[in-house]
Amino acid sequence: MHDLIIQNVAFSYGKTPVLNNVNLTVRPGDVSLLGPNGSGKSTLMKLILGILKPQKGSITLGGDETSRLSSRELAGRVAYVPQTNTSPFGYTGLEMVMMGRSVHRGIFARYTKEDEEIALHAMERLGVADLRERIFTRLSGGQRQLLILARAIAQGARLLILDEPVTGLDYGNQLRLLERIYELAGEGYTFIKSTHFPDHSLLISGRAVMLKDGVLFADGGAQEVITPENIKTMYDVDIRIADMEGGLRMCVPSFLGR
Amino acid sequence: MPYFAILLLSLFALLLGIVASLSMGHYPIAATELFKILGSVVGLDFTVDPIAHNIVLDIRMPRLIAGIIIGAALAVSGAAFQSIFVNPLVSPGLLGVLAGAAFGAALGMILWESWLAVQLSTLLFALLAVGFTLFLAYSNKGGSMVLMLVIGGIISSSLFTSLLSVTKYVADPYDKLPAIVYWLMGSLAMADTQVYWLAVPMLLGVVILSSMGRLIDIASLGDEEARGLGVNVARLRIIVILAATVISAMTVVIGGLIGWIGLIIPHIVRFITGPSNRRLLPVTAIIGAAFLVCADLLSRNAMSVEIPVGIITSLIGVPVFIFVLKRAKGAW
Repeated sequence: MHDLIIQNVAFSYGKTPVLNNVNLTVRPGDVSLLGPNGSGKSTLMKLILGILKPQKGSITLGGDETSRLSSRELAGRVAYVPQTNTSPFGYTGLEMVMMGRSVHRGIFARYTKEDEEIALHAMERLGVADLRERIFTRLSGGQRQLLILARAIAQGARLLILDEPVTGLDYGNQLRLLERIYELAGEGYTFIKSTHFPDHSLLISGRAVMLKDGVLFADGGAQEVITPENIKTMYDVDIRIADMEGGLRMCVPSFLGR
Repeated sequence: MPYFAILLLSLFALLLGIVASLSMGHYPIAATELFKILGSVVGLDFTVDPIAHNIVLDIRMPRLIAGIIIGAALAVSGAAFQSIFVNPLVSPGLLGVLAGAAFGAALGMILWESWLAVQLSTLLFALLAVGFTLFLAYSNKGGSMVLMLVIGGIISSSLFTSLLSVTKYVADPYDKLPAIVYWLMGSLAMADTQVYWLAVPMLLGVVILSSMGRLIDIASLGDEEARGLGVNVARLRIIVILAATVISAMTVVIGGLIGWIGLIIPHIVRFITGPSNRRLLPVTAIIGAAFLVCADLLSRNAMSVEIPVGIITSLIGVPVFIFVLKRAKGAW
């Protein structure tokens, strides 16, 4: 009932087609959106978020057409975790997470004690409760990403759209963020995240969806669709898939020759 | 410091400014006399000096109300603009409202003797200038709307500034030109009891903007992120622009161009309340009012002749702003 169903969606900027006849049904779990730059990943995410409207086809969420929902109704169900936050204003960690609660309050209403409790609870869940009084703009990329993820949880949405969440993070923070996403996906949250790391998909995603030139050309279990052929199609590079112990797989570039 | 304490302290600062500005001047009025006069207004039976009574109620009170309402309107507009344009260096004049109002006032002074006509012309051209900016921005869609509005504002401001130069150039240099120049310096000296009628809608605008802090915070994260948080930024931006434009235009109608308040007061208040508009906007309105009341006090009493208050606010504004820039260090 929380399913996201995308049917025959097409979108173009002016005369340049960006997405062509995209069909996708998403159930709880973690979905990776893979594709080279300009393949239409960001446009697809903006369509799901209601920032853009599909010119053809429909997007429904739990049976409701998203284009018919108000921004507030939609934001109660879909949350956005952008790649970078460019705001120059130094809100505190708690203030940043509280903003997720705004969707549940009227125009002139103030946040309630309950909002603060929900925000703090979400911060504890992601292990960033200690950042409540810290200035957001002065935090590391990893800390910011975890706070924004906490905000999405506090928002109450079950579907989370993440725009290249690990880009720009150091290795430790990348793994910490992936771990949180993996946990939350196991608890019934739905993640749709664009990524340039097929290895991360193989690690934590149940599913990978691949885009090239606005066409969704592969969709399935990450281990089934992340193949040397599909990687070649998307990025024009040669790899092989290495089997690791414990059933894990990894992409190894062919130029290494082993 | 808890928000409640900050609110009380800033209200106390405003109250001090109010008492000082009603009692100090070339005709000093003792505090006890002042309270008797105010008491007699609300119906208490005090015997008061009729001259002091007139000075307080007919001269100083309208001027005080003008100071409060202009200070609050400019400061809160500036703070709200800085957030919705995601730029801490923005001031209320960004979209051309002050340039349009200045031209409207100058044109009115050349064409008509009636002060009401001048005020209407001021208001009309202030709205026209912002309307022109909005037209430029919305007819060139694609790309960032914030950027289009800023560029539209630059174009509109320079158009109306040029037109202002034309009116100054053709104005009678012995009579009209000095009046225009003095008006553009900004002064509360022209405020009379009709300011009370303008104060009502302006106060309403200030209250509306001050109570939208929660949504304005979210708009300050940028359009897409705000959308993800359920805020229709396009609609919110129009509401904020409309409210800020109307109240900023009215400040020019009452007191001419009074600069710097909309830029520096929000920055000073951010040091006390933090950047969240939920607390920033109400406190900014109160501190803006207190600041202009005190600046006007200075303009009346610093020298034997009155200095236009716009000059005082600029002279205070520049060093304060330099200090603020030094303190900011990447987080406003």
